[in-house]
Amino acid sequence: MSRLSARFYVGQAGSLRRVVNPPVRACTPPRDGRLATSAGELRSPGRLTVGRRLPTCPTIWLSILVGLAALAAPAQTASEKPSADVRRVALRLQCQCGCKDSVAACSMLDCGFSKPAKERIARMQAVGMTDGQIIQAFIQDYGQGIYLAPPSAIGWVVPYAVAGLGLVVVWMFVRKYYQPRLSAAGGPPELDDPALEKYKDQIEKDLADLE
Amino acid sequence: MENLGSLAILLAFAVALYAAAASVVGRLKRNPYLLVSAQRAVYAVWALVTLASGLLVYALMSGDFRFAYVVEHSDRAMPLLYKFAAWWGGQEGSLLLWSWLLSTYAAVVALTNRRKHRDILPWTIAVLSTVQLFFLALNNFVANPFQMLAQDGLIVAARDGQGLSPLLQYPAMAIHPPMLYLGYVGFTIPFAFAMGSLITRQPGEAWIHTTRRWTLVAWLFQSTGVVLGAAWAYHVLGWGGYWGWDPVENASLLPWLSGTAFLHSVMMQEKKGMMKVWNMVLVSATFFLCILGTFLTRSGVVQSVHAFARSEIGKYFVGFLAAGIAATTYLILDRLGYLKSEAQLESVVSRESSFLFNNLVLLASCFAVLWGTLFPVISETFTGDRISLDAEWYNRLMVPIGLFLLLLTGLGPLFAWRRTSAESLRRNFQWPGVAAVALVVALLAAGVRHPYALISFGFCLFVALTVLVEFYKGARAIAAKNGMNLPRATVELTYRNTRRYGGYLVHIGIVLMFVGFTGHAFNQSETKELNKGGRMTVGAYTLRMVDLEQGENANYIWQRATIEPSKNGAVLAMLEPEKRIYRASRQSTSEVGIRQRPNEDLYLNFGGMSDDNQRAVIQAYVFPLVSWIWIGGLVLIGGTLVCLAPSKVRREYPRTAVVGQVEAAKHEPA
Repeated sequence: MSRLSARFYVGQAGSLRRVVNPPVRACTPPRDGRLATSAGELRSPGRLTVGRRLPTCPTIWLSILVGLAALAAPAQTASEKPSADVRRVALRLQCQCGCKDSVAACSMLDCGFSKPAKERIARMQAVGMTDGQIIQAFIQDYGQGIYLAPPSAIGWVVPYAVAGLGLVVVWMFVRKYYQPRLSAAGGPPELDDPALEKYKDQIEKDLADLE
Repeated sequence: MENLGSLAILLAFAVALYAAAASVVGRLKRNPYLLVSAQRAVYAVWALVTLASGLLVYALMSGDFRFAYVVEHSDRAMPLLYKFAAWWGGQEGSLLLWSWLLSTYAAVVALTNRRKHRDILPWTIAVLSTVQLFFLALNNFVANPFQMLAQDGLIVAARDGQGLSPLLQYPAMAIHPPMLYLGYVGFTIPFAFAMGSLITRQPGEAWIHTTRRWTLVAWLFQSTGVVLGAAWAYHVLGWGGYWGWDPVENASLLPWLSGTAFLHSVMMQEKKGMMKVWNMVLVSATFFLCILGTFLTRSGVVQSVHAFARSEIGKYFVGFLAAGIAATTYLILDRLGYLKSEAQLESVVSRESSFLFNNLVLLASCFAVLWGTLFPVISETFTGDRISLDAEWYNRLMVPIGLFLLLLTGLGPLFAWRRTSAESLRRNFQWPGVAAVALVVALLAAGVRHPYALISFGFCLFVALTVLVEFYKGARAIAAKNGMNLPRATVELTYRNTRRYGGYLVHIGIVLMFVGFTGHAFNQSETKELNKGGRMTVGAYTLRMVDLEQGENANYIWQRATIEPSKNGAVLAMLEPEKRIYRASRQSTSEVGIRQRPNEDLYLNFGGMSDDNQRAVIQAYVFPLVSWIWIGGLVLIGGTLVCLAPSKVRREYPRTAVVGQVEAAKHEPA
């Protein structure tokens, strides 16, 4: 099984079924010496020195991998751990990789859009563009569909309405089950004796301790 | 081996089906042989699922790359710990873990209750087996972990796998998902007992007494999972944060909130015989929120930074949820007559009222989180626009709710049952209240102007003092009576009523966590490209880059900056933020450098290299008080463990002032 991009049969033993291009990736680097970055881009090897430990086997491939990793890194600067400012704008932009999520939240492994987009947002913010200007620039390039609207009124109102409804339910519950302490006519007499009054707190405390 | 694994889960499915059917038929026909065989079938399901899980783990550990699952979620270079963690790293394996945990819980329930609850237990086993059936059906027919790689009709092995997602290759991640699953699955037990109680028309609280520890155990695991998830996000995933209101994070929070509400309201039923219907609703809601959380994680209906890939599995969860909710709703409505309240509220200012408000706030926050999580789907369905609610939306909504809940944490326990006098309120709250106001004034004088931060710090001190005073007064009385010193008397006090004082410890844990959350108001950050010897400042820290190097090992390639931080001229320990690019998955992760201190964390992220490879982009943050979140989490876990420990004195919780009659008691159990 030298080329995993070939057709495969995947299934339980004894009941194999045929699938095309299963989610299995190549186990060895491509022969053209290029490596796909996490953003799905292909980059050429760079001129880099290898750090503390030199690779033992196979030296050339490992050196190339290290070099490519270093080259890939700048593309991840603002995308892997975007600042709160970048995330704020990215949340208003629809990722174009097909995931239907925002640029900020896209988690597709090989998304080729969200990372460059976050890079671009960071660069635009660095030159002083406002959130509105940045979003407008993206709309000009990709159309109105890229804009993710902020929460509408219903997004805000419903949770408060439900909390208010909960309050009404609590009020109804209290109204239904509230029965003040029985008065002297129907229950134990109220104590006015100052000598006994001092024990009231202790009684209350003991009642609480019954929990 | 692959055949044995597939056979084991297929047999487990068949045996679970038998367990459910035998329990129902045995109970209806009152056939003890069938009932005993149903219980033994539960043990058999556990043995079979354990066998299947063991085989999958063995395949992962030994690198059997004939299995599609092994290829997709592990590789040869991964450390052994992460090969084991790959069990739950993918869809199929995590569903098998669900099945295994549920079968384990079910077996323990069947074993420990085999001579008790003869009416309820058969139905409990039937419910547990039905849930088990659903997950085993997924394991067998939708997401089988024992699928093989094959080519031209022959089973073949890949040379190596794609590796576990690098984000999951972090020690906390080796225990975070199992903890959450233990919580998710654990809430099935009280739900199953509650359904058994409903079906058999039990008028009492037998199911609550039986499941109190189960509920606490599930809540403990859920809490641990949520805290570990936050720690993982902080150290690995995040953007310098610990909670991003991601749908998967929210999915873990939802049952925690409703479960917390249940743990409180259940006391109303134990003590006063009130809120019986509400407790049924809460325990059912918690269970279904667990299933919903699992559904959200897997269906792709909402996107998440750490969700599983989209799949067709969602529709099965929707079907299961719909059927389960319909059946539960029918049962509750049909048995309303058996769930009538036995007592009345004597005063609005009482412990009972505080529980009502506690439940209201917890459920309101639960709904708000659910609404925010599902809003993209809801908005797209009704308007065609997919509107996502960001962290700002959640924070604006949840911070006031959270602060109110914090206040109730301090007020609630000090209200007496039945009614609380004005004098009692004054005595309990006067000095904590004065101290809280004094703190707020002092903070204002010190220049703190953030309104939520001021309120939060004030409430934190208020709650902490009310709880500590409770400990002090109780311990002082015991110390005086028994001639003990105060620390020993505090231990004795806690031991005498572990449930009450363990609960207080949990509240202290919550307070400490809120201290950590409040620190967020004072975060500082700075990003700069540095070359060797370059400097930058963030907050009171000066950072100097000492070295910049890169290298590789069998698992990943790394780039690392060595940063020497200093504060007020004093040089501190070196930090080494690092970026890794994993060979197998070709994904990158960050290993942040953190200097953790109780007052603040210095948090450094290696953002990337410049084009000429001479400079590194360093993102530096100062996060005040964040360590208190983890400390509070530990206190919360410790407090829950204390709650689980048996008290020195067994308390019977006699009902007080029961007003009215229990109509349900007049009816004969089915």
